[in-house]
Amino acid sequence: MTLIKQKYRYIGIYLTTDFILSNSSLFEKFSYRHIGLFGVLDFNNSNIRFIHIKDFKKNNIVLKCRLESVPNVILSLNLLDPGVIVHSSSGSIKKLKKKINEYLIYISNNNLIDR
Amino acid sequence: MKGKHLSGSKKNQFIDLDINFQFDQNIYNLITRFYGLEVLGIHENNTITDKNKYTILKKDVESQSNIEKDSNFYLNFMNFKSQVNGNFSNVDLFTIKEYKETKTLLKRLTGKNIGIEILISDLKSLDNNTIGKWFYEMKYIYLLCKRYNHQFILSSGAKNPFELVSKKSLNIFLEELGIPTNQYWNSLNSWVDSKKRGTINDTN
Repeated sequence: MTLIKQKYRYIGIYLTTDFILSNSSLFEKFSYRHIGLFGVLDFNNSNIRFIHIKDFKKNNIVLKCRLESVPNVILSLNLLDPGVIVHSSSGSIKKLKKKINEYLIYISNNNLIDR
Repeated sequence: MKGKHLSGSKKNQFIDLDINFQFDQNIYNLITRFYGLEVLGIHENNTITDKNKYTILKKDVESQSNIEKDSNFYLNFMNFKSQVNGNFSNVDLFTIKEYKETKTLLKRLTGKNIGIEILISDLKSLDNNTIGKWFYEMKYIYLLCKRYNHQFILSSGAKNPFELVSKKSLNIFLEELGIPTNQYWNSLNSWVDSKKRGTINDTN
């Protein structure tokens, strides 16, 4: 029996000041929302991991999940309160890092952070 | 944005008709570059430093202010809170805040091609059960809109840059509601074109 290689997607998330101040963990908030909307089976099938990348500050988090689960994951992320910014997604962490860098440079150059 | 036109365009533009915070060119560039949206609806009380044809002003019919004649293309909107009696002759768009009497409203305004707008930001504070019910209600409202010839509109309702919803996320919401995305963007583009009024500053 051949095991099919799973495809994953990496999603770039930017945590707002409101979110950090609320003292809640992203994983707790996200899992509550995702399980509530799509169920435990879907949550476990999605194989979700949160990754902190050393190159970025703490408010930049990468979420890794299975390709088929991306719509449900993005939906749950968009329904978090306080909100988080889902700004980019990619099939490889290297490409995502580039996208995150572009985004961060753009918002810091234009003073768009937490205004 | 060179070469793209609201009217006569073959390619659909991605539209978010409800952005409700201080808006300027930097925010506009951020949204087009990272969120993939092209045409934005801005509440009239928010500053627009650079008026262009890709922003649409939203004027609340219940407020007293007047939009200058030479300003951007604008739409009259009203927050719908189950009040079915009233004069809605100059309303282009209803932002649905309560769903109770929506059917009566849509039926009453049959054939007027009114926009029925739903905001994603209203969902964030709700619990999971209520969100589930919301999706059920929205599917029903979408079917009612089709039946009575109105335009169903899904917008972010962002009150700050962190509540913005990307094109990809909007498409995911539409798919979850069982709405074919191509069909939705086609009809929304045609609807926006059909509601044009005021002067559009063509900067090209």
